[in-house]
Amino acid sequence: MTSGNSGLRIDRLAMNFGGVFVFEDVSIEIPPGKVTACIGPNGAGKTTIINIVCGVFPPKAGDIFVDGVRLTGVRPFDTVRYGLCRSFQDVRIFPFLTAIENVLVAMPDQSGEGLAGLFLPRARAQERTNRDHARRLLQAVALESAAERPAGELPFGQQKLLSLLRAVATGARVLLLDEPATGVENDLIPRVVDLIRDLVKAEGRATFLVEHNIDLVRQVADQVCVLQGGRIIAAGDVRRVLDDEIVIREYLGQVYDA
Amino acid sequence: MEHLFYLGTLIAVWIIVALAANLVIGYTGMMAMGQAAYLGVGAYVAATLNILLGVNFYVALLVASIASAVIAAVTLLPLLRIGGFYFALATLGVNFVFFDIFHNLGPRVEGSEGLYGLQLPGPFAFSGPRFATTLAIAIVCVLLCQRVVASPLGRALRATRDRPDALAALGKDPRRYQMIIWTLAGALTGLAGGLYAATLFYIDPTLFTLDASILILVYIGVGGLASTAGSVLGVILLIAFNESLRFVGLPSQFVGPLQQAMYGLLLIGLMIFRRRGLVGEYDFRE
Repeated sequence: MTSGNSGLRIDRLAMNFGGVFVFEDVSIEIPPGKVTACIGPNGAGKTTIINIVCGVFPPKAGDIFVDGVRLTGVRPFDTVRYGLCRSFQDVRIFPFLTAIENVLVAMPDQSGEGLAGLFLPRARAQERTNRDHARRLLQAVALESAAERPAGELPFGQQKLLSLLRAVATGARVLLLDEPATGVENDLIPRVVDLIRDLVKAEGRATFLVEHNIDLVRQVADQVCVLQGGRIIAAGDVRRVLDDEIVIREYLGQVYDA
Repeated sequence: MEHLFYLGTLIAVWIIVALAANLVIGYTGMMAMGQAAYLGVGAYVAATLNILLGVNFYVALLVASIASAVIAAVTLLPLLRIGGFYFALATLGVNFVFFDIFHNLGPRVEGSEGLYGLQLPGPFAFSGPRFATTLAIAIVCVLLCQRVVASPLGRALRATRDRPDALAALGKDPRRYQMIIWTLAGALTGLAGGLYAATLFYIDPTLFTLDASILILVYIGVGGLASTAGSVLGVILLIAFNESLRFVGLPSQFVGPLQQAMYGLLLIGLMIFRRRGLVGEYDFRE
């Protein structure tokens, strides 16, 4: 692979937990500027793919490349340096930090985060710039009124939006979003859609989206792969895959029969 | 008046210790149960340098602070490999190890268990100026802590406490912040140790047992976790309360045990009725 801005490439990944087979031969291309969704039943291994990519545990076989650089085996907090960041299904917000602090803490290379930074004017200037940026991000999802509230007190849907903003704020070139719409109140779903369209897809970011909400996938994804029974049973353009007879029979069932 | 100056100086010293403990426990969520070890390192280094080697007290104080910071950092390295409850237990272990070191290897003035005879410079030689100077140092420490907790570093500390796994997922190693704050707390506690020696004129290993470490927990527990004001308030209230027991007219052999029992009851009451302490910003329920 050559380096450059080529997004995330998952190459022939295989995984098992002890004797429990999860999947094998999973290859997915996640190009920049596009949202690549992954759908499939519970337990298919969608979150496991994210965990492996982020270095939570090593794969049994296969490799991961970000912009052509091999990422396999890199520890979780180092993956961001490679330009990669994830969100969690169960949000994992910082409950005692305010909403704006949750966004601020995600921003990279802050000179105010060391002891020397306590007395550097440069750190203060950077903090002001970061604060403006964080405020703009909150405004983009209509959360600015909650900026100074402890994040733990916000409704679940808002926490989820916040956790997505947090991932955006890292400035990562590749985002992995684990069920961003699950548990979100229906009236907030449009804001999740806007957030993914306007903020996540901006700046040529490559996005890997694991999601059960097929409506959301239709609205934001450019391409989709279906993980079922330990392998990818279909992949490609969203409309083509979601209307595919096998996919409908195997996974989507009657709901999308119409 | 002498006694009031002494009490004021003692309060100032413990405020520094409580501030440091609150940085690691209240702000960063590291259950430090052996902080008296670093207090002892500071006191012993300062007293040894000054009494046995004739080093100027200010220099001794500075070296004590640095030595304590270094020892804090070194002892934290193995502790970072363990988490939660086991981390707390291991810090207790650190306290026991250092008590034994002071007890068995600690230098002493001949004929005594510990060290006395500090050569104190002007501001520390008399009780009034000693109080004023120690208070001034404590105020500087309060301002420093306020600066730390209000900075991006303070934010990262609280994030480390709330969800270290999520912080790691954002590309920031929680252990980095744990190391920074543990070392800073070691430096402050070591500084307080040197000042403690100058306040008491005499130090021995029994000052740095688990009792002292628990006392620190009580101070910040009562005052409030993750609060600079809480660290200050807890120390002032409890030392004043402790002192008031003297006027009740109890036989002296009861005062010590009674004090311990009161602290025990106070902690139980806090856990039941007010986990955040008086002005705390955080409790461990989440």
